[in-house]
Parts: sequence; C-alpha cells; structure tokens
Amino acid sequence: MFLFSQAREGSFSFPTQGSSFAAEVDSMYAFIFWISLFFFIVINGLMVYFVIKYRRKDKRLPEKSPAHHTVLELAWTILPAFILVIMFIRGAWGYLEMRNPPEAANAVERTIDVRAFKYGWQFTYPNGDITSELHLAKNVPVRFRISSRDALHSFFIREFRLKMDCVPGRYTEAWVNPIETRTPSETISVDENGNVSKGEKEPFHLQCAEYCGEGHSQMRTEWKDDGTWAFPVYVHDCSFDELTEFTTWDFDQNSNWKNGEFLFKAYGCVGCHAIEGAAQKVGPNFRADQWRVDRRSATGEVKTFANDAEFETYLSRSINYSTEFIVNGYPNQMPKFEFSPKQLDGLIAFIRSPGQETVDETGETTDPKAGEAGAGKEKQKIDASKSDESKIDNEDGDAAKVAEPKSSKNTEKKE
Amino acid sequence: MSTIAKQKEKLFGHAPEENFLTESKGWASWLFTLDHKRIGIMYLIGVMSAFTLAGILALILRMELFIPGEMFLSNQNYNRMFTLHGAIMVFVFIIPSIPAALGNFILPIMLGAKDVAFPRLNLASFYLWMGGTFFFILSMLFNALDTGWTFYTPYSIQTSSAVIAATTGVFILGFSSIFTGLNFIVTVNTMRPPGMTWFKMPLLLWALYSTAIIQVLATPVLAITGLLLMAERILGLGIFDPALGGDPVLFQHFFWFYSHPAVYIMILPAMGVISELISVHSQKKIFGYEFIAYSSIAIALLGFLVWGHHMFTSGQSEMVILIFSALTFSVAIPSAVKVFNWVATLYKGSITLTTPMCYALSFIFLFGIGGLTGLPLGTLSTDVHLHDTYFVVAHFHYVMVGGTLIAFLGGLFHWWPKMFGRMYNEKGGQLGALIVFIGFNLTFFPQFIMGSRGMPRRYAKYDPEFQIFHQISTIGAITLGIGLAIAGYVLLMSLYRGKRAPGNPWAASTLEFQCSSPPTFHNFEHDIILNDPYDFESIEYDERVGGYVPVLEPAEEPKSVPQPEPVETT
Repeated sequence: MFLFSQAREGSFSFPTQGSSFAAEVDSMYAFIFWISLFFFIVINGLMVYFVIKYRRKDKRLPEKSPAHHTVLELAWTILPAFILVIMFIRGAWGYLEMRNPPEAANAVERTIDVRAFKYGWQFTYPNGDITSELHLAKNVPVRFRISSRDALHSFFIREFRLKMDCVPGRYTEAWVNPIETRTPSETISVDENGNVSKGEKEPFHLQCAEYCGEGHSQMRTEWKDDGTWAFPVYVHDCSFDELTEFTTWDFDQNSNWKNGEFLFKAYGCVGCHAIEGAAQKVGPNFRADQWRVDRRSATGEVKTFANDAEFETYLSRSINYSTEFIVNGYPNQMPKFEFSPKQLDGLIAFIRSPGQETVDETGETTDPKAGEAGAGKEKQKIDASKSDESKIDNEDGDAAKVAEPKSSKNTEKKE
Repeated sequence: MSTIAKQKEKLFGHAPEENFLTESKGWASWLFTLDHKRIGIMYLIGVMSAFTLAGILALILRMELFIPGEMFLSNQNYNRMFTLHGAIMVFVFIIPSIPAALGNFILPIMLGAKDVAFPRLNLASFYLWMGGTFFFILSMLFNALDTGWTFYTPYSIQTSSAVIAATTGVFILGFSSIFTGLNFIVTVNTMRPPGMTWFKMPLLLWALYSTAIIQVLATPVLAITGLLLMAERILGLGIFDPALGGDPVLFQHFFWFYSHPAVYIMILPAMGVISELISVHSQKKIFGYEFIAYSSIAIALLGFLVWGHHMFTSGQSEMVILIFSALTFSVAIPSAVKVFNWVATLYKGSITLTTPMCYALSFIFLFGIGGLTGLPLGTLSTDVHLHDTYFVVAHFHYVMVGGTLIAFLGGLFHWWPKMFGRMYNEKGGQLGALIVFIGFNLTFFPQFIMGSRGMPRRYAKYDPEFQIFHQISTIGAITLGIGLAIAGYVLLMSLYRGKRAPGNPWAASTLEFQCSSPPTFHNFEHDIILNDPYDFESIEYDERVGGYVPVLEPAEEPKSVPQPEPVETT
C-alpha cells in the first residue's frame, strides 16, 4: 500500500503532505500499519494452517493437547501491551505537536478567523479582509480561530491532516504551517481562447467533516461548471502580509453589481444559491427571470410586487431577516445576516442579473477617469488570462488594483 | 439390551411428539406466550425484518453513490436514508440481535432451566421492542429523520424532521434492552444447575452476562439523553442549544457515554458465540477458558471509560484527550487475547468446515481487520486526520457487520437445527458464507483507502477522485446482498425440505444439545447430565438417533440432577 508513497500527488493511502506535521501523521500510520499487518498475517496464517492441517479425517476426537498454557497466555496479554504503549506515546507526542501553535502562529496578526455556516465558509484575515477562499503563505505558521454560526461543522483540510470541529457558541483553534504551494495559476488553466479548465493540480481540499444538514457535502473545495473553485485553499509563495494581494476587496464605487458578486462569494451565498441554470443547491437559484415573480410561502401566503422597489424591499428583508418569509418548497436554513444598506444595494444589483454584469443603474459613473479605470480593468483581465497568471476573474483583477494602498495600511497598523 | 442402552433409549431414544412449536396453536398462543423460546423466535423474525429493511436502505445508498453527483436521491433524501439505515441497524437490529433473539432461546436451555427468571418481563421486553420499532417506522414515514443516528445537537434541535418520534423510539427500545439484560443477570445468577459453577459455564453465558451488565448500567443514560433532547425541542430548556446558552458538546458526552458501551453490547455476545462455534466445530476444548471469561468482564468494564475517543476533534482539552486515548488502548488487549485464544483452540483440533465454522473463521479474519484498524483511530495524531472519514465507516462496519452480523449468522446456522428441528443444506450454507465474505470485503475494504485519502463520511455528493472506490464498494454491496439472500434462502428452505435434526447434530457438549430438536415446551423431558461444556469426550455418536448423545458410564447411574416437576399449563 505504501508502494506509491513517492508519487507526486500523495501516496496510495494519503493525499499530498501539505503541512509541517503531515509527514509525522503518515509515518505514524505506516508504523501502525506494518505492526498490524504483521499480527494480521500471523493470526490468519496460523488459522489457515491449522484449518488445513487439522481438518477432520477419520476420527472425530482429536489427539489430546493442552487447553491452557499460562506462560503463553500471559505473554500474549502483556507483550502487545508494550507495543500499544509505544503507539500511544508516539501518537500523543505527534498530537501535542499539532495542537500547540508555535509562538509565530500564536500572534494576533497571524490569526485567521474561520467561520462555518450552513453551507459555506468565511475567512476573516487580521486586517479585516473577508474571503470564501483560504489564502495562506508558504512556511508561515498561522493560527485559526474557529467558530460556527449555526450547527456543528468540522474544518478539515486533508492535505494538512488538520481537522477541528466548528462548535456554535464557543471557539476552537488549530494551526498550520503550509509547506507546499498551491497558487490559483496552478489550479486553473486558461487556453489562448480564454476558456478556463482545471489546472494540473487541485487546490488543497477544505471539507466539512461533521454532518450539518442538507448541504453538508457542498461545504467543500469543488470544481464548478462556471470555471472556478468553490472554497479552495491556496498557499502562495509570499510573506503573510503580501497575502492581501489575494484577499483584499475594496468596494467598487462604480459597480454595485461587482460589489454584489464579491459579497455573494465572500459570504458564502454561493454555498446554497446557484446562478441561473446551474444545478440547484439547497436554496433557490438566482435567476434573472425570477425578478418580481410572485412568491408563495409554505403557509400559503402570497406576495405580489407592484413595482421594483417593492420587490427590492422584499429581497433585502429576505437577506437580513430570512425567517420572515420562507418560500414554499425550501427549508428554513438560511443564517441571519447583518448587511449594511450599501452591501444590500450590491447584492440586489447582483441578484437582478446574476449571469452577467449590468450597466450600473445608479448612474454615478460621470467621472471619465472611472470609465477609463473600468476599461483598464477589462484589459487587465484579458491580459491575466492570456499570461496564465493568478488573476483569473475580475475579483482578483480588482484586488491587484487596490492592493497597494491596502498593504501600506497594514504596515501602518503593524507599526 | 444392556442397562446403559436402556438408559439411553429412555433419555434420548425418540423425539417427543410435541415440541414448543406445535404444543399450542393460534395467534394468541404466540402473542401471549411466556415461553422464552417462542419469544426468542418472535424476536428473531422481528430483528431479521428490521435487518432486511435497513439492508435495503443501505443498498439504495450504495447505488446512489455509484456516481459522484446526483443519481436519484436528493441531498435531503440521501441524508434521511443514511440516518434510517444507521438508526434501524443499531437500535432495532444489532443491539437486540444476539442477546434478545439467540440469547433468549439459548440461555435458559444452556443453564438446563425451564425458562428465564422473569418470563413476563421477557414478553414485556419484546412488546417494548415492538413499540420502539413502531415509533421508528413512524419517524420514517412522516418527515423522515435526517440527523444521523447520533442525533447530534444543535442540528437535531434545528431540523424539522421527526426527531421526537425517533427519540421516543430509542427511549422505548432502551427499556426493552434493560429488561432483557436484567432478566439475564438474574437468570444466570440464580438458575444455574447444581454443579455448574461460574467457571463451568459455557463462554456464551459469560458474554451474555457481561453484555447484560452494560445494558442495565448504560442504557438509562441514553434514556435521559433522549428525554433531555425532547425537552430541549419542545420546551427550549437551553441545555444543548448554544442559541440559548447550552452546550452542544455536552450532548456528545451524554450520547457516547451510552453509545460507546453499546458498541460492546453489540460485539461481546458475538465473541461469546464465536467461542462456542470454534470449540464445537473443532471438537477441541476451548483454549484459555479463564482468560476468555475474564476478558469479557474486562471489556464490559473498560468499555465505560473510553467514550471520549469519539470526540478527539470536538475541542475537548488536550489532557482529557490524552487520558481517553490511553484508556482506549487498554480495551485493545482483552479483545486481542480472545482472538489469540480462538486461534490456539484450532491447534490439534478436529476441524470441520460446517457453515457455522465458516462464519466463525471469517469472523476471526474480519474482526482482525476491524480491531487492528481501531489502532490508528485510537492513536491521536492519526485520528485527527481519519476521524469522520470513510476510514471510520469501514472500521466500524468491519466490527459491527464483519463481527456481530457474521457471528449472528454463524450462531443462527449453529442453533437453527435446535430451533426448528431441521437440517439445512450444508453446501448451500457454505456457498452463502463464502459470498457474504467476498461481498463484505469488496464493500468495505476500499472504504479504508478512500477514508485515509480524505473522503468525509455522510456525503451525498463527492469528489470524482473517489469514484472508483465507491464503485467497487457498490458492487461489493450487491454481492453481499446476494450472499445474504442465499443464506436466508438456505435456512427457509430447510423448513420445508430439511431432514429431521437429531438432538445433537454437532457433537456439542453444552446442555442445549441434550434436549430434543426442537425442544419441548418444558425444554428437558429427562434429567440433565452435567458435563464440562467443552469436554467432547463425554459425547458419542449414536446410530439409532442419528446424532450425538452423552456417554453414560457403564457402572453408575447418570450424574443427573433432578428437575422440578413440570408445571401443568392449560
């Protein structure tokens, strides 16, 4: 089983070793495996040998042999106990290593908040950035402060051999020191026509390991039809502070739609709501043709909308106070949010036309410079695709644009 | 005719005309019976129906998992299926399987007794089982349960599915289990025949006794937990619900404080059955009787101290986790001792590969894998990675199915002639056992690899990288289903076509093989002859009965124990 342990993307039994303690876990497993295999072969080998050798031939009664042997019995009671003690000690040692964050990871500026909810993940970085992708820096130990908004979840990244339950009402913690990179450009490839496909490697896999309800198996790193990864774990070859390049999103003054798209991803709406014609998840899909369509609740109450404003009011209530009106056929599972009016504007603009960006209705784009910036952004996006860089979607493109001021802000904060 | 021959003729010569199956007729004679054998048979039919139902659910699950995306089950329906599969298998099938179905039938006869100590309590236990199962079926039909068989809070408080009906079912089933346990403890303590000291009891009785201790001590905790969960849902007490200041991890402690010992309620009787099968079918005195007997008690007691190993990643303190890990390793030792003793029993035996023996040997193989894969789960550094993955799923199926179910089937084939007085087709039985063995390994071995590669359990949809493992597993599940169907067919056909079974077809030395097959209403129509349960020299073949009978020493009267006068029943 360990014949393939040199393979690049993990061994036969284990995924790639992505963290500093993964090697110890795999080696511990191999240690137990070989000892177990030895005992298994001895026990079953003897069993098969005895069954063949002592098959009943002519006489029913066997020749006499002792029915107990105190020394032998004590030996096979006590000797395995020694092996078990060794296993316990080595396992406990490896475990304490995994549980106690080193000094460097324990600092406030190296703590990432992990928030699990039905059905998605949200990461808050020390500088306040929020993403639904986990961005880490190679060889930089970080600590996770883990919590849950609703049910039990479990924060499981298999390449890190890391697992910790997300318990509502309390914090749990974990830490990791990633030792291998997984950048977006390794995991998404773009051909010359701009078609995106899976890259040669996959990002590290984040999965929810504690059953949490209907969308449990959606809380994982997954390649999606729209050419993106849901909840990927990326490890960049950069310093921790430089991660802001990938995590920052400042509100785009020019496009409510883009702000909405960002929130849609960062707050994990994407975990339950698919866009347009994609396969339906837990909640209703966001579809342009559902705009202002009447809604019927499970109790039979019907809401009709005389104008856009009424429908927009309904949407904003449904986002921040989701339990007020549950549309028939859908579970009452959406967590409570506290979006600001500005954020709601963005989300509503996004929901109105989830498939593609609309011309901003607010009509604030009078500044010619802003228009230029927008065009530049588009260009940048195409460039990025062509050069197969990490900036795939406009989210990353924007991040690059605003990275500079944000990171300078960080250095200020540190000082 | 010599005196010995006369004696034999009198004791074992002819099958009595009436037996417990035929002595009274009509539905009422079954539904209100106090006869432990009839209650055992009713339990047998009940648990086998539950097993068939939960097995079909398992097949549906495996079919759905043939492809990574959705085939025919929505996420919600998938969650309901795996919940009901687990809950029915654990609460309705495995826990009562060996103790209540086989144990009820065998235990009193093994003691040479007429019945258990409290026959009415025994019948009450069966009706509680029926009641609990009824609530389970209710929870299945109306808004089926989707919490997983573990009912973890706070999800079980939030979900709209039938948690109340299911916990009511669990609560009632718990009392059924307590009644059986209590009955067995009193029966073994007070009704052993004169001369049968503790260390002359068959090992199955040690195992059932240990099981009964766990049932009586641990099950009330489950009942309380169920009540608290109901109170939480109905009254909003705030014990487990974090939104009200409760602690969801407390529920896990309560739940596993029962459910870990429950694992030993499931496996200990299986170990007892295997001790009997290995010894009888190799005609060899069991090796290391005392070690096996003490290890049953050790497992029963240590089993109470290890519940925390289900919660290594739940955020408990490191110190607690270290202690639970150390205690967990201590349970490994008595289990290993039993396996070594069984293999040593085969040494210089006279082994026949009868169907029960085939199951017993596959038990050693499968339980070996199940037990050894427990080691990386008890070891802390590896458990963090393996916890809640398919590795755990494979591990506990190897113990619960490869252990308990296989032992249950082995025991069923072993005692089937005793229960119904018919021999089954040996070739058919062996074929069934072989296909079950192959199908089982095909189903669950790939799950170890999936699990260590990081496939989490309870996933309705999964990463395409795991598809090949899931497909092998699904094919294995179908094979396993075919094997079980063959085993069931062989047993049922024996009722119509099987040749009459003698009182003792296996040359076994335990007391249940001294009465006729099937036993009469009073079990023994003659005085019992008490020998060592594993002394096979005290048994000889008798051509006239076509089976084995105790050897009667020429010069002396049988070492018999007077039986109380049978009570006349109306």
